[in-house]
Amino acid sequence: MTTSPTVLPDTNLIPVAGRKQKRRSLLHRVFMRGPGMVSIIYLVVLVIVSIIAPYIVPYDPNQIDLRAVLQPPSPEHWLGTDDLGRDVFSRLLVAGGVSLAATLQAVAVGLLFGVLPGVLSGYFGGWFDTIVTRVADVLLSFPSLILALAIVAILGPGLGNAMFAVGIAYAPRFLRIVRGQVMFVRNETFVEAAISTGIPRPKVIWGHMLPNAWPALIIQISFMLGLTLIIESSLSYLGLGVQPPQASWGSMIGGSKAFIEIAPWLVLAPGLVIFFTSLAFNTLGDVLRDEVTGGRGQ
Amino acid sequence: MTTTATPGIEAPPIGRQPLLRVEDFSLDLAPSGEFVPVLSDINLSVRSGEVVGLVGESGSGKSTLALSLIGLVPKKISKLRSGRITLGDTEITAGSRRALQSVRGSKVGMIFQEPMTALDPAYRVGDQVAEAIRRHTGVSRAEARRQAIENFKLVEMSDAERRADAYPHELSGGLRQRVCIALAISCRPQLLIADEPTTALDVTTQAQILDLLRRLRDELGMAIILISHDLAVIAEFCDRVMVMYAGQIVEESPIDPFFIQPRHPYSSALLQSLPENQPPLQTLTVLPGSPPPLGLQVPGCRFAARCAHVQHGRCDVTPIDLTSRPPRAFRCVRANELSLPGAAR
Amino acid sequence: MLRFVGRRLLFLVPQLLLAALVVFILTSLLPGDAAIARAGGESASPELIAQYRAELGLDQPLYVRFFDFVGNAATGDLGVSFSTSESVSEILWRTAPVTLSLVLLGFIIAILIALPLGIVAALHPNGWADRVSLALATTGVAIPNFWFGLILVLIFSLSLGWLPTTGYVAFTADPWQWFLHLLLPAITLGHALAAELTRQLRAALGDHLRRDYVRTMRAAGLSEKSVVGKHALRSALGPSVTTLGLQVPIAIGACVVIEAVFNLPGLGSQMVQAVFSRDVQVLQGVILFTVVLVVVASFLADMAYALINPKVRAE
Repeated sequence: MTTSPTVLPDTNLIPVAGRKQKRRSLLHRVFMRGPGMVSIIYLVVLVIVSIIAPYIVPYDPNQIDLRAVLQPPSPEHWLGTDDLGRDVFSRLLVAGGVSLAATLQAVAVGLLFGVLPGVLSGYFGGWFDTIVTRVADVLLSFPSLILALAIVAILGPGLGNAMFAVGIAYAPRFLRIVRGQVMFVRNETFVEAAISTGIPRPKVIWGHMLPNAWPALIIQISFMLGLTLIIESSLSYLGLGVQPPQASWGSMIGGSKAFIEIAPWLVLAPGLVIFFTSLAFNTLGDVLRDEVTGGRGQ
Repeated sequence: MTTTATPGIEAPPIGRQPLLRVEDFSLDLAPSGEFVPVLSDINLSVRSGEVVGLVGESGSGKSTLALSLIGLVPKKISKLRSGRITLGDTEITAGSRRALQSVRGSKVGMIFQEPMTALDPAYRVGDQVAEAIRRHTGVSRAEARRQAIENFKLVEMSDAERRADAYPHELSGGLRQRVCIALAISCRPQLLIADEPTTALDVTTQAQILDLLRRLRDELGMAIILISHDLAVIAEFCDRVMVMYAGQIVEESPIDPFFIQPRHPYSSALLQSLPENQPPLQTLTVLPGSPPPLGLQVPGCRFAARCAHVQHGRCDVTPIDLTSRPPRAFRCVRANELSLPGAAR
Repeated sequence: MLRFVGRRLLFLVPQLLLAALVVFILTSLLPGDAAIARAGGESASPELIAQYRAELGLDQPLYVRFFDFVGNAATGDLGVSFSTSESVSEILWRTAPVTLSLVLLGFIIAILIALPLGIVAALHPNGWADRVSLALATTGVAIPNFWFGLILVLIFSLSLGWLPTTGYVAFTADPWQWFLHLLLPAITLGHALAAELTRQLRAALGDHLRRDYVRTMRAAGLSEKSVVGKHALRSALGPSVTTLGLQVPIAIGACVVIEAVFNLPGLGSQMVQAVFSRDVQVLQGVILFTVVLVVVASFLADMAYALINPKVRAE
């Protein structure tokens, strides 16, 4: 069974009554799957470590020690030191928090600018919908990295700006999904029933339509988190994202590029972490999608 | 005897040697994981020039049997439990892929139920038939195309030259089915298997296609296996009929005696439920219940649960064998005691 | 077919105009403009700036400026870079071939990987090819491009010394060197593209192999080579071609980073520089060119799809 990318089969379509219960069981079901469990555990551990990072780092991540420059991994420095003698492991831990926070920020911006227009567009239709979807389509045809770069050019380099830019670049995607789900649900009779019993429209939208859009949205969020992490790393690698003295995983790689031959661990360690984290997000998205569509989605 | 629709042309005599032999054929399928028996103890033979009907409900296994006859059941989900199928000199059940490919199309042709999706949408219909011709005879492209158009004319396609350049989506269902027939007979096979060829067509086209098949059989001398759930079609067309139920053959008989007096309760029930058979202005009687699910092991007769003449202790204990009383055969322990109503013709 | 092409071409013009509009709006929001740059910077006297503004037509209402912009762009005049005073068109002329070479080579490598892998995976579900393509798909999405490129450089250039590390050699100067220098970047790009292409091809081919007409062809005795290679594959290529078209914007985006890693003087590097120096003219020109490229690529993909699938031409 194939479905269009933005609309899910209506197997989970229920009026709101069982909402909380349904969401808890989805998480449960995802957790029960092997890859799902591994991804969730990895991400939870990562988040916890990133939050407490400042308190558990063995060294001050910004502490320069020119006598211990470019040292390979050792018992004192688990991942060695960089070109300024800073402990890579400590930097990695702290940079994790920066990267993750930035990723969440971008997705949040995307949701902010995507969900509301999507709901309105799907619900009201008409010329409003046509204009919004045309604009979204044009934006989607831009390479998202280039769009982000353009917005960064307007706003100036800096992590906050970069993530805002990335979020804007994503908004059309979320918009499309939410719009699709809302349109799909709009025609269901229980919505009519709710409206006819006098429930004000916004409440109907908020209370009935959105919950049914959640599954598709959550899946997309998961994938977007993975993608955003990579884009953030890329921008920071180029020097357009996080600015020194702050560091993210991407900027760590960017700063160590010159030393790759003599100190490959400087590039390997942050890269591997980015890879695994992105992999975890993507796997989570895959498992979520399998669970929600109830079959091996191709 | 069966009608021959084409005046002036005599139906070719039915040959002595069996063209197709199915011996004790049992097949397991694994549609989702577990292998379950789908066909059991199938014995069937077709002689050249014969028209045999195979009738059964959906789920009886008739389409799987049809595919098995040319070895098209996917190997990955099927397992031969016993028996073999021989077409002429080639053993289908043990044949190499090459052997099967050379037999298909040239010795045996097959047409399917759904003409709308049976042709490749990316190629013109003439090219598709020409390709099959070239595959089996190795003639030049121009010659193959010429023959393809000849075949289109043979299947009564008007404006054949122009139609040959059409894409499938430009043709109606009836026309597409004619193309499929042309494809199937293009290399003059000795046997044509038609799996519900008219079910997806409207009534007028149905009649036309059946007439066409009858004419082709008269002119080309092919044997035909016609698979259908529609007894009326079988009645008009076939010399002999075999009734399938739940993966087994439950009755085999020449056509006229079958209609006058069937020997198996299921056959009788089928005949009774023909609309022509029923008193006018009354509710149609249908056969209650449904066949056992695929692969379910049923002790004794598989029809027992729905049979009006069932005797507990006799019918539902041990598996029932096919009793052979040539030219008829039936799988019922009570057949000799019962006098089953047939159909008014 | 000709009518189809003609109709699509008509669509092209409004599409391009719309894209140009978006680019124009985007860059109008950028702080700093040609007048300020000409006048020597933000600290120049306001009168001087105003004078240049009038001269360059920047004080005109927006829609007039837009028409000027489109008109100029159509004739190849995209302004002058603030930082280097080189004309933007010259910059594009110089850098576009690099990026285009990279994208072309990247796609070729992606197809070389995806085609055999996708076909084998579709023919043998759950076989080794299927697993490999799944692994490829997962890593292709999760691996950061720039990191993958760096690793390739580490292994193949620095450790093994087989390939040069950075830089670009023009095809016209030395084709072999051109190829060697582009090989690692193209593999980096191709790997990311191959993931989605393989997935798409496998799905499409798998779907077509299950269709009725394949059964008809097999029943007619056609060889597997013909059934799969000539018939099923041709129809399956349709959606894959569309995917190829959709991958172009992704590829161009990836080029930005890949060019940075491998020091290739292409559109991507140019764009990054322009962002750093807030060079509006260059940014505008590069983005416009990129968008035009994407629209044209999408158009070509549609054409290819219509060639493969006759049903589409009838619409």
